[in-house]
Amino acid sequence: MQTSVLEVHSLSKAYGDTVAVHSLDFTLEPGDIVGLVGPNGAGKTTTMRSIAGIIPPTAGRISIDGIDLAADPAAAKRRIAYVPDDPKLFDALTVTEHLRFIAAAYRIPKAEFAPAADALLAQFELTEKKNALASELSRGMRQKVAICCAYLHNPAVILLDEPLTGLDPRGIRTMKDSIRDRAAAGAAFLVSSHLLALVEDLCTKLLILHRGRRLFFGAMTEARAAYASMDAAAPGAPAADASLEEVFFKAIESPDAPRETPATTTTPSPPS
Amino acid sequence: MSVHPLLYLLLLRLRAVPRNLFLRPGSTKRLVMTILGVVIVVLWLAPGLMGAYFGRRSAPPNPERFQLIAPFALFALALTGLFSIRRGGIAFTPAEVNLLFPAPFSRRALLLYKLAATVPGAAFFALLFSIWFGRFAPSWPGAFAAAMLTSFFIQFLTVAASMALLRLSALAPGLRSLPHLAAGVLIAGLLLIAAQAATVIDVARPSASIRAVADLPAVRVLLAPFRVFVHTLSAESADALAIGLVACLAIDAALLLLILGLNADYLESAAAASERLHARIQRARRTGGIGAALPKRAAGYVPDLPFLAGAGPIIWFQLTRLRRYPTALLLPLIFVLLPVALLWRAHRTGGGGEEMILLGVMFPLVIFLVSALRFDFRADPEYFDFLKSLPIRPVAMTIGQLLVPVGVMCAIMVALLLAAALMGPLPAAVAYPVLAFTPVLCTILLGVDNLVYLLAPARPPLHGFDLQAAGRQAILGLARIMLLAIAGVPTVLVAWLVKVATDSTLAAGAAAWLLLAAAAAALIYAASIAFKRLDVSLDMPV
Repeated sequence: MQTSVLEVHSLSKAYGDTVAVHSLDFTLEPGDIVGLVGPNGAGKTTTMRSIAGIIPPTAGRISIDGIDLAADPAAAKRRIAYVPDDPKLFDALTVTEHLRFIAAAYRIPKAEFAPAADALLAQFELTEKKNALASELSRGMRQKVAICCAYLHNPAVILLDEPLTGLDPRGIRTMKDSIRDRAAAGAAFLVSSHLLALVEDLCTKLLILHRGRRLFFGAMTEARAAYASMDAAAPGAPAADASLEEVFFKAIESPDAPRETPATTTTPSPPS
Repeated sequence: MSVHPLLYLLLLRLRAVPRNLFLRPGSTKRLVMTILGVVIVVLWLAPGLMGAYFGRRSAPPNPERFQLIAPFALFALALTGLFSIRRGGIAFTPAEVNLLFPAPFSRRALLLYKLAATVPGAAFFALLFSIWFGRFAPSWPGAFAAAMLTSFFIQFLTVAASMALLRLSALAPGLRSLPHLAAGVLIAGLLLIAAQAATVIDVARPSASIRAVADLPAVRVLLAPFRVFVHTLSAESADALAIGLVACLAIDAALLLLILGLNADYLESAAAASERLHARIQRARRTGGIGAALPKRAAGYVPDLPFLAGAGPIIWFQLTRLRRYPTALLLPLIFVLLPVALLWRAHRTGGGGEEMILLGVMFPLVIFLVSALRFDFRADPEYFDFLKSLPIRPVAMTIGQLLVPVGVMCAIMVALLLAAALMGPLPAAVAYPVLAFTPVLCTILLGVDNLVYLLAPARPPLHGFDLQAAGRQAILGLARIMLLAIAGVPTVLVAWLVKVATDSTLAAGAAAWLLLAAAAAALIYAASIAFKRLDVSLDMPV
């Protein structure tokens, strides 16, 4: 029985001699909220754009809800949503028109569209702005519109790249609540962020990338345990209750150090 | 003594010019575009360079005509600068506003920096112009200096007018719309002169008409400073050139002294103007040029379309965009209404020449429409990430993208052909079959442009000159000719064979239509492959 909604197997992306992502493996189960962290240039955005079908991977296989992205990209993309760190909206379209366009492209039945769109606009406090052109919106509002577009077709996998950028405190709370609610309803999230406090607060699992390589993938508690076990006696080593920040710095400062493999980490099966 | 920081910044920026032009092509495709751009520039300059090298200078083909027309052209150029004052006049880049405005520099120092920053651009323009024009000038350095001083004159004139308006605004702070008022006065003055000019214009004698307009007292006054620069540019002896250069230098120096003397507080208006200008540039770059202006609000919606394998939502989107940028259709409509009006006039007066009007307008119209109706991939340089993330197959995406511009172009061409058929120059027996070919030909023409764009996407250049853009134009021109030849030669051949075999014009036409339709379908497929293979992390311009 297939339980993973996202399987990434040996994903690599190279630009000439520069390898942005190197043989990356991980899976997302329904309800997962995975924090994707790493320093600048770690390959986070490249990974997300590859999974979203925007850039072609150099090697590897990506499967979304059981559908191979390379074999049937349109069907796979129907089950995924991606919100980039700086979402680009169409200047010429209003907020409602963005949602109508997404509904048409993702074939959302008309009967379902209006209530879903209205609910999302209300949730993200955009109802008053629904007839505003995108060019008239603030940065935070544009971010909210992009999130509404991503949620509209109820995707199985949602990729969020720095989702809190530009949001006000209420928007941040709404965003975090929406992620938890949708994860509880079965959606899987991959959330890339440099805000480690957000990742620690929100995510159930952690994926650490460094120079395109996976340093760690597993539950948050396992991350602490894995890095605490590396060298408990060494000064600066994170304890079992260490903060994510300590874990993060330990991981990227000793990328080649041996560490305990997390028990829950699943590796996708190789392509048949 | 250390270099003044603003001068140091200018030197750093100057050093970056060749780096941006030649050393950072980004990808192989862009490198090819850059090399082709260099080839185009060299080919353009070759006649001038060869002439200079071999010492073969042709006399100006008609210096009197140049001296007659050029002042009007320079005046028009100056007018565009003067009207830009409505949007704030002096514009700095966002980086300059953020870093230099709060820094300890005087307004005058910043203004001098801004004026000095235009020197490399003016020098480049003067270099190109003088090499091209050098064949007709007594000396290349003279032509270079004259072109450079002319460029400064146009710049200084705008800045001086802007400073004067700011000074007046400071004297009358309640008068917020002074730039608009000034623009209104300028327009009213121009209209008065135009009304006066209309009385001396004889359409049958264009040269004499221009001379008559130039001799109007008001026009003589308006064009007087421009004539100094034009006469210097086209001086026929070293003495005339020297005198002209001194006069040009004196005019430029006087304007510069006026600018510095006015010393208006321009920082606030410049910051606002810079923000507006930057936003406009960014909008244009996001939308391949069609969305430089803010989108217009319009009541109602474009009705929902059927899914059509994914093409429907894309057509809906481009139609909505077309509604929001009605000004993008303004020029094409003017372009097509003008020849229709000329046809109508020729038809009414019975003076003949309708065929020449039609032939003269058709080719430039087609080229213009293909480039102007960018409601397709070419308007989406910012949105390729989004388009590629949509669950729509590349072929459907390509068809959806092309359908709106093809439809609009067909409508315009059909209107022109019908007008030509009704007013005589095009026999109905020719016009109506041509109408049948219009959709496939429009698809081929727009398909070629989109294919080339997808193979090497670009944004409108940030600055005036871009080698990659020049290279892209060269490729586009070649691709248009080659693909039209590839589609056209077999079409003509097959149509001829069918005509010989069946003796039926209808069968020959049908065979030709089918072949062209197949070529259009092949182009759509090729464009869809190019879209599928486009790697936005490598190929998209920054």
